[in-house]
Amino acid sequence: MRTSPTFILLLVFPMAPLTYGQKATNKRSLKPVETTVCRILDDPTAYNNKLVKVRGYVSGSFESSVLLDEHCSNDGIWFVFADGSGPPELVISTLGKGTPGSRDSKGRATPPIPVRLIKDSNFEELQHYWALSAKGAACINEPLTAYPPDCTTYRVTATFIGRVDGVSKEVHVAHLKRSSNTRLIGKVSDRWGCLMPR
Amino acid sequence: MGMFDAQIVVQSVENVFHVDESEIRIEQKNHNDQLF
Repeated sequence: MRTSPTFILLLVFPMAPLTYGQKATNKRSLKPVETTVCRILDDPTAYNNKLVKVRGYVSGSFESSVLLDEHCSNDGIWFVFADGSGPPELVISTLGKGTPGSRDSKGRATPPIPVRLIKDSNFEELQHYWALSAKGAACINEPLTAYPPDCTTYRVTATFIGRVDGVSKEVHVAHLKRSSNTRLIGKVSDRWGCLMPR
Repeated sequence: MGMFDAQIVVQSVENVFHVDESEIRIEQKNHNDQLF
């Protein structure tokens, strides 16, 4: 049996606007806001639960990972990959009591924008130099494993796309109250994203 | 600043660039020497 081309067109044509509409909606909702680390630091709540695109350099230690901008380098944005991992130096991380997401104009909770880590060559390059830098920084305090020792550290700059979550300042207060090799003393954040040592 | 700081939950990385931090320190020192 032969199917008429006109019949096929009649079947496909009404679906085309629907399909286009779905694609356009997805694209619009997933487009990141281009901004800077400094602007986010100026008003973090304005960016809560928004997808952003920012350029900056990363700095990690055993208890924190931060995204910095040389134009406002005294402060930074807490940094975590969407799979929950952090920099190579980070020993352990924990979540606070709160949940990511936001509230609409009527105060109803809205779910967090879904983010899924893309482990491509750019991600691997970042990880590679971050790990090399961590090794370089550690060589000052550790017994020599190679001679001459390679204590090179790198400033790794990149453009990052991700979701901004508000983090309570209590996280920082808790850090100040923590002594080395102990768990956090005091109340942990009511939002999420606190990093702490073993 | 308000009650909250920010955390970024990264989904992708682009345009990675690295530089030896000792070079940055030398550049900063030269810059400071020129100023004073």
